[in-house]
Order: sequence, then structure tokens, then C-alpha cells
Amino acid sequence: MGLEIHLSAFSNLQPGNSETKSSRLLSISDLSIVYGSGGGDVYAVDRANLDIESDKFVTIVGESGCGKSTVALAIIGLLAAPPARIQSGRIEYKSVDLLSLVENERRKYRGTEIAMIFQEPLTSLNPVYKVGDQIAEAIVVREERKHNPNRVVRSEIMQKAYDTRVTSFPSRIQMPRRNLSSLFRDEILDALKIVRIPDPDQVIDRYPFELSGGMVQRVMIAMALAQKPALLIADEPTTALDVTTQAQVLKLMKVLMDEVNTSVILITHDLAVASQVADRVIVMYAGDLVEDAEVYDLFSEPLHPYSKGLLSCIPSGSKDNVKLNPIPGTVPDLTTLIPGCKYAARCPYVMEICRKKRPTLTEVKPKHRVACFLYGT
Amino acid sequence: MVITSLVVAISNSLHISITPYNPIQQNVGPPLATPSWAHILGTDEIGRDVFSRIVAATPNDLAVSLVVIASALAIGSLLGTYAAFSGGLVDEGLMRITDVFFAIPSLVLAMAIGVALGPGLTNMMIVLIIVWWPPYARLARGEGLKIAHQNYIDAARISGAGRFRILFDHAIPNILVTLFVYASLDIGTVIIAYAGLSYLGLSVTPPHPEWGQMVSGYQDYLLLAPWLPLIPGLVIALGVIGFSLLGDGIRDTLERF
Amino acid sequence: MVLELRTTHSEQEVILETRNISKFYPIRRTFNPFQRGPSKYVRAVDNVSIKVPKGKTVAIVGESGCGKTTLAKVIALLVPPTSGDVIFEGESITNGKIDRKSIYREIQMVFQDPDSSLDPRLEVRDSIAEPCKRLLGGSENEIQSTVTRSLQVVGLSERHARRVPAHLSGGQKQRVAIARAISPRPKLIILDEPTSALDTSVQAQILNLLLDLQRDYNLTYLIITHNISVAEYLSDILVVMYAGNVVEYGLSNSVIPKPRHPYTIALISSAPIPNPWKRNLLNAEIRGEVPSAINPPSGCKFHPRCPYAEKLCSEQSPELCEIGPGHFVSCHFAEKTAE
Repeated sequence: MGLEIHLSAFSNLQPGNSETKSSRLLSISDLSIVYGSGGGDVYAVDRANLDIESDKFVTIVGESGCGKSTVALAIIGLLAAPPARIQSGRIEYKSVDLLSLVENERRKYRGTEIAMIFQEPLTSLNPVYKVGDQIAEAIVVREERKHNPNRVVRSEIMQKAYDTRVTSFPSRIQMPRRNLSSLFRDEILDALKIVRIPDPDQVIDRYPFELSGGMVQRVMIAMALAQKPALLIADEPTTALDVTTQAQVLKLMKVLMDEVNTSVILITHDLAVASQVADRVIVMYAGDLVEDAEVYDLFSEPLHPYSKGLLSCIPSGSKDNVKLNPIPGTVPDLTTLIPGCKYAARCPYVMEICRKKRPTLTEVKPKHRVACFLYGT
Repeated sequence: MVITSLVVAISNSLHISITPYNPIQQNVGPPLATPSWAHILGTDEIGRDVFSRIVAATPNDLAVSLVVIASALAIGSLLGTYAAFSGGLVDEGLMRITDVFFAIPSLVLAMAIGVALGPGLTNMMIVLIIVWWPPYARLARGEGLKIAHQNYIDAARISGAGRFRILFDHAIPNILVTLFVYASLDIGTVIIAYAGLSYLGLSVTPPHPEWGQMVSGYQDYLLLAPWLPLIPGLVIALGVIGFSLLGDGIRDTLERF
Repeated sequence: MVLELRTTHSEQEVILETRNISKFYPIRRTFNPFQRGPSKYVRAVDNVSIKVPKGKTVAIVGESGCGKTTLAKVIALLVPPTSGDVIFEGESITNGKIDRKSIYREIQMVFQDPDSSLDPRLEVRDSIAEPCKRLLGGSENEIQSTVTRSLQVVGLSERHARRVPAHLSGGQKQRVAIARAISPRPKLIILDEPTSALDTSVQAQILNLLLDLQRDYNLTYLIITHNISVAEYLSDILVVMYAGNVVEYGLSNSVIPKPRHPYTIALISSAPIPNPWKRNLLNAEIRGEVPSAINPPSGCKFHPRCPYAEKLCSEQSPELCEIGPGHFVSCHFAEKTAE
């Protein structure tokens, strides 16, 4: 299971620019995001509070519509600004509030410090450029930012590289007329080998539609790693993949992230996947963070009624010896601001106070936070 | 425009004259009179009132555009969806037939058929329908292909629906919206085509009024009495714009639906 | 209730059987009557023979491209097989002279993807009424009451009857699809990925609903899924498919704990278990990718990825043979996994 290729490809970079190993990498406070549309507002994320240490594999788990993807997009700054509105809150990355930055400043973090991979592999890569060229683009961006950190790097680089011999380009890299990948060929090959893509010298010249979903996701991981980010956000990266491919990709992510010291936020709806790879699990329901614990604690002793309900929903065993207890009811309509706890309507332990006041996410056991009045929070 | 046409059509069929003057009657006024209060748009070379003629000709255009579009829509959607769902040779066959129609410039084809059939309003409608249905068929086929593999089509099969039942109950209702949008843009184009045909004299015979025919009939008087050819031309343009706007309106209502 | 049979089917009444079903799709680049060379085929389903006992649930599992959906469509008579027979209640239904309506009164299907399995222009009650009208006939009143009953049984109310699919949630749409399928009171229902598009909590509701319906109406289920946990929960018999072939087949409670085909071993070990103390995922050993359907590997289609492969595997395609009571595996060297 070990990696045969040493990470010499990335040795010329400093790991993520973090001084201490276990420092606070990301801190989200009081984040509220609303999607506004003609038909009314949808309260997608409601006062979220979350801290992430570096060097951890965190999973955010929740069902569709709970706001997990919205939080991820807000962190990396790819939230479509209309219709989404960030109503309040701060996202502090290494003590810099990302939300207070102008887009030009924000962009410096995107891809270099914080990287992201998405759910649908087919649309993640540009179909008209070869795979090798796209990885090269990621490397070019990295190199550019190294030499000139204030320079805003746009994809005009690619445009220029393909059209003309760039001499007016104030960088130390001379762009060839075609075939960006020839420039960094060795590094690209290494990157592909690290993500275990077979026949990397062939894949470099392939187009995305010639690759399978699993291979494309691996290319995305390679591109993300090329930047040596401190934080990688993966939004349902394996949901569209087959089970065996999913196992391969998750295993790859876990191993690589350990090796390059990147923290990961994995978004998924699948608690089983979370249990297999996460260090820490955060459960979201209808825009709220309801529980936040180390993975072993969550599975041995889920505190929030929703977490308990969700765990008893997962089929594991035969109908003859296991009984599924589905959670009655449906997810609440997020177009109205619900007073009190959002889970109250479906909660078997609901109390008077639950419908009136909103519980806050507080630590009730070491490293185990929950938002529920059962625990007095 | 629509209201005018409806009114005129009704009055024509009821043989009541609502126009200031009988459109075919000659010599209601001095020939080639300039527009004046008596004759709002003047008179032509044999003394017929231009305004009355224009108004009287309006229902023709409305009728033609509606009939042609509706028929092309019907024929096209039936053939197109049938081809999409049958696949294979039927589909290929339809595509090649429409290719033939596209290869020949539509107006030339229309003229050829028009000459063969002879003049007359209904004949012109037939001509235009023949020329107009291929794009609808192709559009319907494209849309049909999109839904042919949807699960609800399979579900309908498993519910015991036969081929034609599926076409009528499931396929066509779902493609109609796109076709209506296309049709709404197309209405104006039909008017121009029809005006072209009537300019060439292929439509109603004089003395009945018809816009295109009026343009061709009066063009010799361009310098003498410019309002004669220009006004019908302008009216044609206004008609196209009017119907196009009508089409826009239809589309907007459909989109909200 | 544990199946105490020595073999899977001999004493059970078999309601459906597929015999050597194959479905090949020819690839044609252009409609060229002068095309040279042999036609290439996508071998979607390759010689599949399975038996479905009455009243039980058979799950067909496999990954994308293994042919399970195509097999389901062949059984449902939506796609004619290239060769082979489908036998329902002792009679062949693929011989071409069959009255489809009478078959569809007995066999129904719930489709993958609730979004596309309902006609977006029809109200719920019309969608459910369609099979009643076409297959059962009867007066307007009778049909209406069947529709109402079906809605009740799946947990929906009159309120939902007049809605269009766009105003329903995924779970509700799937319930409508199930209501539609049970309306003609079939004996066998084929379910193609019934819960794959649904959230975990909704999936649990639907799974329980399916079990209740099976019990109440004595239904036989044929479930297609790529989700091993769902297959394990619902099924009595498991069929594992790979690249168009059945590679393993037997009682779920013997195949899942002790899979014998190397692909089944990889598949089951890749399925994430909600248990952080048993991190099987990180130890799952599976290499390579699903093979091309046009040019599959020679001999056993799994041999390029198989850790136990030997020369014979690339030369000869293995047959299904019984390696335990009612447990069939298609492998030359099944004894290697017997540990």
C-alpha cells in the first residue's frame, strides 16, 4: 500500500507555509449564507461556527440541501454572489478574514493555499485541452505566484502561450508556442504516477473525454497537489464513481494527504465513507452544524438525535437480523427562518424549549461539540 | 392587427361592408388621388380606395400565417416524433427527405409548386405548408430523440401503452413547448413569404386586394404616386413586426407556464 | 427467517428464469451498406442464466457497464435479447408471440432516477392511473379507487395526487413510481437502482416500504443496484455481474460473508462500512479499470485485474460451477479463495 514514487516532484516547495504543525488553519465564525431568488430567500447556512486544525482529515456530512456544499464554496470563494449572499460571519484562514478581501486578493489563496475538487469529474476538466496541458497550467500558476506573488494570474497565460511566443511576458518562464506540457513534462509525469494513473506518458496527451471518471478525479487530485495547498476541499469527489473506484480514490487521498501534510475537508452525504477516512466528522442539518466530534466518538456515542437517527438509517446487515429505523418526516423548508431547533419537528426527544430557542454548538465532552438542549446547550 | 383581421374577416363573411368604400369598386374617387381625408391612403389608378383595399386584405395574411404554421406544426411534430421513436431507416428516411427540401431554396420551390397548382388563396396555403413543414419535423425529431430514452417512456410501455399512444400522450405534449417557441418566431417569416408569392401574382387574383399583389401592381406608379406601392409595402413590414411581437408574447406566456 | 434449503431453488417455485440471455449492440459508425470488416459489438449482457424464486428478493449487483440495467430491460421486455429466453411462470415470454399487456399485468418495473421516470406533464394520479387504464381496464371510478389505494399504500395522500413531479421531492417521486408499479397488482417487480438517487434517511424509508409491500402483497423482487449495503439488506439471493457476465451467484448470507470470486471479494471489500474501527476501505485491493465492452479481455474478462490469474484465465472463459450448496462461481481457480 505504500507509495513507490518519492515526492521529489514537490520537494522544491515548502509545505503549506505553516510554521507549526498543529495550528489553527481555518476558523469560521457565525457564517450565514442566504440564496435569494424571485420566489423568496433560502436560508442555506445559519450561523455556522467551525475551526479546523491543520493536518487533519475532516468530513462534513449531511443530506442534500443541508448547506455543506455552500460552506465549501464560501471557503474557497466560488459562491455565485448573486443569488447567494453572505449575510454575516468571518472565514479566517491563517488569521486573515477571507470574506473581507477583494476578489483580486482572494484569488491569491485559491489554488495555492486552498484547493478544491468537485463532484462531477466529467465537467471538471476543460474538454478541449489535453490533460497534460491542464496540469501544466496548474504548475505555471504556481511558478508565477512564486516569482511574483502580487501578480494576478489569469488564464490569459494559457491564451498567450498558445497564440504567440510570449516575450512581453514579465516572467522568467519562456512559454513555448504549443504544448505547455513539454515544459514541465517530468513533473507532470511524476504527478500522474503519484496518483497511480497507469501509462502516464500516454495520459499526458489524452483529452479528458478519453479518461474514465476515476482517472479524471485522480488528475484533479494531481492538479490540486501541484500547488501544494495547505487545505484541500473535496466536494463529494467520489459520489459519481463506482464503488471500487471510490475505494481507490479515497485511499489515494488519505495516503497522499498524510504524505504532503495537507488538511482535507471532505464533503459527503455518505456517513459510511466518512467513517472510513475521517479523523473528525461534522454533521449538518438544514443549514446548521449539529454535531462535531472525532470520528470514533461520533460512531460510538452519537449525541445529537439527528446523528443517532442517521446512523440507524444505514443498512448494514440483512433484513432478517437488522431493522432499519428511518427518521420520520422530511427535511424542513428552508425558505422560512425557523425559530428554535430545526430538527424539532422530527426529533423523538423534542422538548418545549426546542421549538422556541435555537441551541448553540457547544463542547460538552472533550473535542465533542453538539447543538442540542438535551445537553443543555 | 389581430383584432382588425378578425373584424374584417367576420365582416367579409357576413357581407357587410365596414370599409369606407368597397375595395373592389372602381372609381369611388378620382384616380391617383393623394391621401386626403376623403381617402385616407389615396386611390389607385382605377379609382379604388387604397385604405379599404389594405384593410380588406388583412385577414388573408392572418389566415395564411396561422393555417400554415399550425399545419406545419402538426405535420412536423407527428413525423418528427415518429421518426425519433422509430429510429433506423424511418429516421434516416425522414432526414433525407428534409434534406431534399432544405437543398432547394424555399421560395423557388414555393413558386414552382404555386405555378403548378395555380393561383388562389387556398393553393398558396398548400404551397407554403409543403415548404414549411421540414424545419418543424427536424426540430420535433431532435426533441423527440431527447425524450425517447427517458424512463417515463419505458414506464409508459410497461403500462401497456402502444406506440401511437406513447407518441400522442407522452412524446408530443413534451416537445410542443419548444416547437411553439420556434413557431412564434416563425409567424412573421410566413407573412413575408406569402407577400412574396402574392407579389409574383400567385395568390388571389385581382380585383381582390392582396398586399403583395398591390405592391407589384402599383410599382409602375412609384414616381407618380409613391404612396401606392410604398404603403402596402410598409403595411407588410408592420404586419411582420406585429406578428413577431405577437409571437414574442406567446413565447413569454409559455415560458412562465 | 433463514432459508434452510440445501440448494437455492430446487424446492422453491421459480417464477422467473433467464436462460443464456445475451444482448449485443452492434456499433455502426455510419449507415454504410458497404462497410468492410466484421461489425463490432458492445457485449452488454453475455450469456446470463439466473433463476428468481417466487416471493424472494434477488439482487443483481455490479458496477457501471456490467450489464445489469440492460438485463433488467430484457427481462421487462423493453429490449429484445440477441439470444436466449426469458421464462416467466414456466412459459417463454421472449418468443415474440406474447401478449405484452398480459405480461405487464404480472411483471412491473420501477426505474432508476425518479426525476425521469414520471412524465413531467402528468399529474401524479394520471401517472398512476395509466397502467390501470391500459392493463386492467374498468370504469373511471374503479381506476380512481385503485389510484387512491395505491397512494395510501405507499404513504402519500390525496394532496399529492394532483401535483406534478416538479412539485415533489425525490422520495415522493419514487413513492409515486412504486405506486404506479403496484397498481396492476403484479407478481414480480423489477427495481432498477430504486434508492440510488435518494438521501440516506429517505432511502431507509423506501427500503422499509419495499419490505412492507413485499410482505403484504406477496411480491417477488428483482433489484438492480450498485450499493452492496442495500443489496445485503434487501436480498435473499445475490447475483454479481462483471462486464456482462455473472461471476458469482448464491444466497446472500453465504456470498456476502464469504465471497469466492476475486471480483466479488474486491467489490465487497470496497463497500464502505459505517464503522471507523473496521477500516476495510484502506485495505481494499483492486487494480485497474472496468474493461472496454467492445474489446473485452480474452478468456475470463476479469483476468487482467485478478490477483490469482494464471495462463488459463486469459485463454478460456470459465463456466459457472457450484462450489457450495446453491453457491455458484465463474472462476477456474475458485479453490484459491476458499480460505
